[in-house]
Formats: sequence, structure tokens, C-alpha cells
Amino acid sequence: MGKYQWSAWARNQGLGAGFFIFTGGVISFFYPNMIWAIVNTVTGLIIMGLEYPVTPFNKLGFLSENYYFRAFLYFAFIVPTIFQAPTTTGGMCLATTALTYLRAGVNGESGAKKRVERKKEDMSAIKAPPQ
Amino acid sequence: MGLLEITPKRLAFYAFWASTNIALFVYGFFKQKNDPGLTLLNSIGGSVWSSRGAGLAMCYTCTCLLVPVCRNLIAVLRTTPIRHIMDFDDNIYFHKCAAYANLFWTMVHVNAHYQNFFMVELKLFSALPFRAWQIHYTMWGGVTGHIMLVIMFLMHTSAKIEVRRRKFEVFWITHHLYFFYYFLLFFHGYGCFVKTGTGQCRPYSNFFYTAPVFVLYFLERCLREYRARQFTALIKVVFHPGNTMELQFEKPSFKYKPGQYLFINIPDVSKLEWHPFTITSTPEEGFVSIHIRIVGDWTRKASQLLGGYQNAKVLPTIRVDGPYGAPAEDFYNYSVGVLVGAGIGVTPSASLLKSVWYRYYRKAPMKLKKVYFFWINRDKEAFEWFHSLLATLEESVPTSFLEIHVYLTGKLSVDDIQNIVLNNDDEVDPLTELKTRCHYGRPSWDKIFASVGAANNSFGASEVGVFYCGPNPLAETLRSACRQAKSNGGTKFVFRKEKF
Repeated sequence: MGKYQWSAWARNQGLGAGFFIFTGGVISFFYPNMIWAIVNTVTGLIIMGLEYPVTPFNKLGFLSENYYFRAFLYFAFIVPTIFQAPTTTGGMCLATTALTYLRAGVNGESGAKKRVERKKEDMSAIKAPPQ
Repeated sequence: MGLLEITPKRLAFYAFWASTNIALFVYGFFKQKNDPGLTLLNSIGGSVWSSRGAGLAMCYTCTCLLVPVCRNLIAVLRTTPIRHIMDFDDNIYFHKCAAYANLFWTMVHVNAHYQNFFMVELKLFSALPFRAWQIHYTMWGGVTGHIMLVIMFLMHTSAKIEVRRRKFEVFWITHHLYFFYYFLLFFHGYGCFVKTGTGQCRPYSNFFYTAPVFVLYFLERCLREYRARQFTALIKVVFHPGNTMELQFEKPSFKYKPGQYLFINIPDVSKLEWHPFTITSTPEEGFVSIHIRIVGDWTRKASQLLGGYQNAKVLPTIRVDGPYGAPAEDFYNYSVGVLVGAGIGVTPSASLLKSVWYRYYRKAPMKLKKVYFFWINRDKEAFEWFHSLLATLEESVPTSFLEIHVYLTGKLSVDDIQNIVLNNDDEVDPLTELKTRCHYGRPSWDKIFASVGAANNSFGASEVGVFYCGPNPLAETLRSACRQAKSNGGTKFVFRKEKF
């Protein structure tokens, strides 16, 4: 097995935290200050989309592949969760997610797909069959 | 043991599980709704009743979570008649069912509570002067609840197989947060927020159910520690080709049956990790052996450590917990048995074959009349692990009792093929050095089971036990072959799979 990768756990956490923030956001629609409900529902969807990953989100190059960027994005997403009760738990979970992604980044991981190198086959050793 | 495998027993279990959960939810729901002393809180409506109903269902799921992981209890229950109703092989599956049910009810409970606290501030402020944030973050229920949620989040996310397989320690250490989870659970209702107008407390005291189970699990852990600390001495380490090592040790307090497994801990490799391995020896041999295939972090470190003790007098300490029951220990209940091992999954078969040999040698009376053994390997090196055992069995046990079939499924290099062709005239097979010829390619299970079923007519067994240990894909193939064989012939093929 290869070196340990934190990204697997970080991904699971991201999906869970994104889901909590999304449901918290939906419930917040019944609370005053609807702006937070809208912001949190959207961030919840973005997080889940980035983690799964869903089609527009896996083609953003640096934005979808770099784990440092993702960690800091998530730290930023924690801020709107603080303003409404239903989303705070999601925010706490997003904090652990962001920390795990930071650890993954430090560990040298990234979301980039590895390019498989194909060796050019040495055709000279193969002789033609006798005529 | 996939999710989608529906057997009558599974269906009955799902029906039981769903109905008990829903029944408890409904009971909790209406108990709250119809409580005359709680009209103030009940005025909020459905969210209060749902949160209480879900809370009661969670008492149930949290209790059910700890029971299937009491390995020693399960090992004892496995030998009682209860095993015909409950399938103890699938204890972890039940643990997961309880975990997912708990997660579902948590979602219901938590979201209902978000609604509740907001409503308390909005509608009931004159009677209950609390702001929502106060209930969330300063009261017992809220504080314990939020911390429990984060713990649950961490436990669930690290338990998925992608994380567990890659680094077991992350899963193991995170999962031990259960200890704090249960303590917080006991205190969840402590502040007694739900009380009548006259101040009478109305909790759904979960600790009546969860505390005894927690104590049971704590005792289970104590028992495991105690047994592990009994005298254990590593006496021999053998490195086999095919990336496998064999450990032999003595432990007088360890009484086992063939086919069981144990947990081993090597403090010099990792103080906390315990890994399960099938026992490959039989009690008659006087020592206990396990065969370990070197695949991941722990096994690699262990092999490096043990490899450094070439001529040492004293080998490192090990600790052993067990023995624990496995499907293989039921092998002797059948009159016709089929053992299938794939790769290192041959270990339970090895133990059973050794045991069968001892009994045959002693002419001990046994129900078993015919044994078929199939060993399927990808690499030819693996055959060395039990070569002497199989050679001895071929010599001393007639094929009318034991049939050995060996399959090599991996690609062979040109050199290997030439070697085989050159040596093909010898009495023994060039690859395995046994009298039985090695087959190349995968076995055709339908044909095999058909001939086993046909041969069974002379034995008259009503059931043939098929015991398999190895990777999952082959398990699915075997399972469907067993089902197919049953529908074609008359004999019932019972499929038992070990945890790999």
C-alpha cells in the first residue's frame, strides 16, 4: 500500500459537513434573517459538489485540485454558519474537514489525476516469423 | 453479505429492525403529546413530539450499538441454540445497521430541536425566558448534544472502508471517542429542561438502557486485557515465500478449536493495534500458529522486526486475545464438507485439515464422511506455505475421504511454462510437488458442485457445508453457485463465509 493519504477521510468529512450545512440552511429559511439561510444552503451545495465531485466542480483546475486552497475555502465557509443555530454544528464539522485537508496538503497530496506513463515498447527484439 | 442480498432471514431481520425503531418513535411521540403536564412545551407542536420520539428511538439504537461488538459474549452465544435465530457471523453488519439507524434518528432529533429552541424563544418567552442560543450552548442538553454530534461525525467519517483500509489507526483511535460519546449521552437530560408546570421532571432517561450495556462493554474490554496478559511466548518465526510469515507461540491458557481466530498485538510494532488472524494449527499440536501475509503497514513492520531476530535467544513479546468463533468451527457438524480457500484465505482450511488428519489417524468417530478441499492461488509461491501438510495428507488419507484440488489462476511467465512442460513426466506435479495435478485457471463451480451433489447420493447427506475464506468477489460467485446447485439437484449447499 502507498503512503497514507488523508484525503479519503477529508472527503468523507466534507460530504458530511456539506450535508449538515445544507440541511441547516434549509431549516434557517424559517428563521428571521433569510440572507444566512440562502448563503448557507448555497455553500452547503458547493461543498458537496466539490467533494463528490460533481461535473462542473472537477474541471476547475487549481480550484478543484489544490488542497490548500480547499482548506482555506472551507475555513472561509465556516463564517456564515456562525450566524444561525442550525448551521453551527455543520460549521464545527467543516472546521475538522478544513484541518484534515490542510494536513493532506502538507502531506503533499493533491486532487490531480495521476498521468500514467506508457513506456514505448522496444520493438527491435521481436523478430518477424520465418517466411 | 452485500446489502442487496435478500434472503428470508435478512428480510425478517429488516422487518424486525424497522418495526421496532418506528414503534419506539411513535411511542415516544405520543407519550410526549398526550402528557397533560407538558402542555406548555407541547404547544409548539410537531417538532417537540418528533424530537422526543426520535430521542427514544435513539436510546434503543445506542443500546444496540454496543452489544454486537462484545466479542467474548458473541463467542459464547455462538455455541447456544440462539445461533439458529441470530446469525452471529454478521455481528458487525448489525453494528452498522444500528449506527445508520442512529444517524437517521439523529437527523430527525437534531433538526426538530433546532425548530423547538427557536419556537421557545419566539412563542414561550414569557413562560420560559430563554433565548435559543442559551438553550443550545449553555444547557446540559444543548452542550452535550453538540459535542456528541461532532464526535458522531468524526466516528462515522473515519469508519468508511476507504479510510479504514488505508490507515486502520485513524479509524481505531477515532472510534474510541465512543467512550466520551456515551458519557455525554448519560448526562444529556441532566438539566431537566422538559418538566411539567409543577417542576416535575419528565426525561426519557436513556441511562437505564445505555449504562448497563456500557458497563457490559467495559467488562468485555477488561476481559480482553486480562486474557491478553496471560503468559504468551513466541517460540518460532518462519518466513515463507509468497510474502508470508508464520508465527508459532505457546500459551497454556489458550484453549481453542480448529477454525477459530485470534487477535495479536506486538507492542514493539505498535502498542495499540490488535489484528485478527485465523489460527492455522490444531490443539493436538501443542503450540498455536498463525500465517500472516505481509500486505500493509503493521504486517510489514512486524516482519522487519521479527526478521532481525535471526539467532536471538529471546523473541519479542506478543499479546494474544481470543480465541474467537468463526464459521469454520461448525465444519464437523456436516457429513460432507467443502473447504475453499483463496490465497491466504486457506488458513482456516489448513487448521481444519490438520484437525481432520489427527482425527482420521486416531480413527475417532466423526460425522464427517467426505471432505473436498479447493485451494486457489494467483502465485505459485503460495503453495509452499502448506506443502508439507498437503503432501502428508495425500500419503495418509485416501481420496475416498479427502479430495485435494489445487488451482493456479495467475499468469505464468514463459520460463514457468517451459519448466512445467519439461518436468511433466514426474510422479509429482512440477509446480506444487503433490500427487494431485494442479489445474490452471479458475474452477468451474457449477460443474464441481454438480459432481459433489452426484457423489453425495452415496453419503445421503441432506446438507453440504461449503466453507470459504478469501476475497469477496469469489464469495459472490460461490454463493450463487451454491444457490444454483440447490435448485438443480436435491442437496442443499450451505454457504459459510469467513470475515477476510
